Amino acid sequence: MKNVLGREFPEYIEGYGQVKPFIGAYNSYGDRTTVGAKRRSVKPARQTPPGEEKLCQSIEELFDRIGVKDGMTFGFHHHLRNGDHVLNLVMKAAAERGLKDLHVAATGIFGCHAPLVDYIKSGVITQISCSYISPGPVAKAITSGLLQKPAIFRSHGGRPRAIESGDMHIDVAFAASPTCDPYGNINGTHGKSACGVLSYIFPDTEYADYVVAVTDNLVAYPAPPPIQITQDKVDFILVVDSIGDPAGIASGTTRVTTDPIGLRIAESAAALLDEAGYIKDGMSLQTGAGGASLAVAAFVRERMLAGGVVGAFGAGGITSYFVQMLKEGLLRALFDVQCFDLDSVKSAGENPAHMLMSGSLYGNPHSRGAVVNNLDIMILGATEVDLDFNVNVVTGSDGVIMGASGGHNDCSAGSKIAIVVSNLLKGRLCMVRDRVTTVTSPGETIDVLVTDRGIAINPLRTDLLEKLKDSNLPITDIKSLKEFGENLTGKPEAVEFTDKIVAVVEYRDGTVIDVVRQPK
Amino acid sequence: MKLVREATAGATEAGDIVITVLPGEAPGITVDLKGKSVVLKQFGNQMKSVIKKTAEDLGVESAIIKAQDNAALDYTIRARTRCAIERAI
Amino acid sequence: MKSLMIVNANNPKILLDAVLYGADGILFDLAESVPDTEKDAARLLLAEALNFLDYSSVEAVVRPNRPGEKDFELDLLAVGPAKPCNFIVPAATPEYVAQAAALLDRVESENNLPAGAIRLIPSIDSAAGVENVAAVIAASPRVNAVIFDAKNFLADLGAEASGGEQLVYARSKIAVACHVAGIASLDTPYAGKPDGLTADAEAAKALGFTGKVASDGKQVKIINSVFA
Repeated sequence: MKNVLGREFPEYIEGYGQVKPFIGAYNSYGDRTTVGAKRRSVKPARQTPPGEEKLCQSIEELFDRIGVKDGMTFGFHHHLRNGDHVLNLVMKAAAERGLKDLHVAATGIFGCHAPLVDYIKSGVITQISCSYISPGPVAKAITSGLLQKPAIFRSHGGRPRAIESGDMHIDVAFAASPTCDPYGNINGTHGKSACGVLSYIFPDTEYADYVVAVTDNLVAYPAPPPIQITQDKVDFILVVDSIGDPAGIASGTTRVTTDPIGLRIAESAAALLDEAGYIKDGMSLQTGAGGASLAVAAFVRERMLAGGVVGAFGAGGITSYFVQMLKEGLLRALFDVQCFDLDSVKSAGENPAHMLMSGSLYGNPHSRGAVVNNLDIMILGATEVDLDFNVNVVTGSDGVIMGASGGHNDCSAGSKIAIVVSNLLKGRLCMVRDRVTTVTSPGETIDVLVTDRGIAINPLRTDLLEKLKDSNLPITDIKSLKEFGENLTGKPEAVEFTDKIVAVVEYRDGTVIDVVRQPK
Repeated sequence: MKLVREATAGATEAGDIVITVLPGEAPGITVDLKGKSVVLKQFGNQMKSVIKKTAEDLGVESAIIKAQDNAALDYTIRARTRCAIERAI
Repeated sequence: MKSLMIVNANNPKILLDAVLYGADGILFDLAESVPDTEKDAARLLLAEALNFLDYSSVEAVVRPNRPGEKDFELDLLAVGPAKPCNFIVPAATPEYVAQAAALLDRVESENNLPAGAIRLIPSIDSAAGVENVAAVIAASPRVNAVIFDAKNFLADLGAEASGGEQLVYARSKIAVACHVAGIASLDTPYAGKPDGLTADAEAAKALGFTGKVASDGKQVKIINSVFA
């Protein structure tokens, strides 16, 4: 079968199930019903025999009390990013217990999760679903087909949608809890492993059969405010030496670029936004965590200061740059799904205008309205863009998995203008292709590509083309960018793939936008 | 043109390529290209033919050419190949 | 030409990205930026780059090694056929300018290029150069600009660099001579703390310079705005 983007895959994928093909970014809205959730009630302490302690003395006791068994789905979140210890310690114990056929439903997988590869090989883990994955050993293992079932990539809005709709049931959710009391009130902004908001685990705490708070900072009841996850959601508490290394939070790409070329790209994106009339009172803004995307925020800030503009909100993963804009009064509020650095962790704990939002509130298309619907400006990265403006952030052009949607296709669908910023050439590779290797966000939701070699506007945005027709910005078309790049690199030879599907890429609404096949 | 010694040109920096040429034992030019697989899968054949043609255009009849690529474009490959050959004669 | 940005001619990535900094001209350096053992590699790379990459949006200026060194002639003969806009004549004297012009006569006729198309930019980097700047300019009709090299000028004088004042005479003399000859004058690259660049460029502009050499991409924007 082919979906509307011409992407081909079978109607039924072994290990995934029946496929609902992608039918367009905006064609699946309508009435929905959510599933119910199992609840264990907890007896009060005055009961004899005495009520229940939520605290477990060991992970073995925890597993016993839950009755973990083969084939279960474990939910994890990635707010400790590349410093996370929780996923590894839970899976190590699961492997030692001899569990098999587990499904790891993590919101993010990083280089620090390399030990999972052994559990994949030994069949402890047979399925992984995630919203983000960084290039590294687990991504390589998935690419090479080591997982028994295809991995499933869902956006940050798509994962809560899948949980609420019953597409993905979480048996046990593990909330990495920087501060927690003995009855399960969780605070994310305090403690030695403070990582800020715990947004992505919220759907798991609502819909999982069991919710476990894993903490390295057990405090007296009640935990200090702000409490993000309350005791009525939490079944058990497991105390460990360390849930993570906060130094790993700001890992990777969360600094404004110092590369002059990246800065020039960012500068022209900000100029384009200004010329097109998006920098104005009441504006809202989100940027990806890549250095060039963050630099756009820095240049937008300069223009807001110069024009006396006060924006409504900044959203998404929050960095110190957004915290600064909030403090300066350039933004009235922040909607935060993930703190990218320790400044934002601090701000999330102190400033009431720095608000936590759950993954569902952030991007779930089948809700009563996600925050991305209120977003004006979205700045994104991309591995590849094609002539139809489809974006790939999942695989390299050789088919090797190196990322996943994150909020990409949620925000590009919701925002009024979605701009991809990138160098046109990455090494010897031109990022504009005839056809992207894997579609993550459909071209109808991507408005502009800003590169160091020129700017291309999606022809669907006739209004933008009209507004910018007299602009001095280096506006060209996407085909010219591709030709310019290929004149330098040469035409790439087609990469060959086997028929084995190693990952399924769901669009935010649960339809399949593309699949990843194992490269030959 | 006959190569009389082993010689190297280029650097390991991004966008560059290290070309090492050795006198061949038999007639013909053999090219051994190493680098990132994402580049080699899509451009490896093209890059090898640039190396070979550069050597042939200089009149080299017998050589073993080893290349360690770090995402070089054709102009760099030509310049480094030529430089290595000039250093080897 | 307001800004002329120096790039290392032996670095492929820099050659590829050089046009992106907004400089009016690019100074492809075969001299100071390139160690002696890589001079041959740099010439070959630059010649290939000038043929392969599109520099039509900028002035492509090549700085060869010093006349009198063996690499000077090799640089002009290897890179000349790739048709840069200009060659710099380092340590310029009227004799060196004439020697460079004669080499370019040969390059142009051997490669069927229009005679006189490649221009020369003498670099004034000694006390004698400053005193003789008019004669240096007059040494070839190919000369269409002059660069002032303060670092080597001060070294020749035996003076330590101590700020703009000590350069007033040399800068004035060069700017005036260029103005009289109707050619561009490019001030010395700035090497001090970043926040001093604007004042240094303004001082050069006030004395009559038409542009300035940028030692890296970060300086380009400031120089362009001062000389705008």
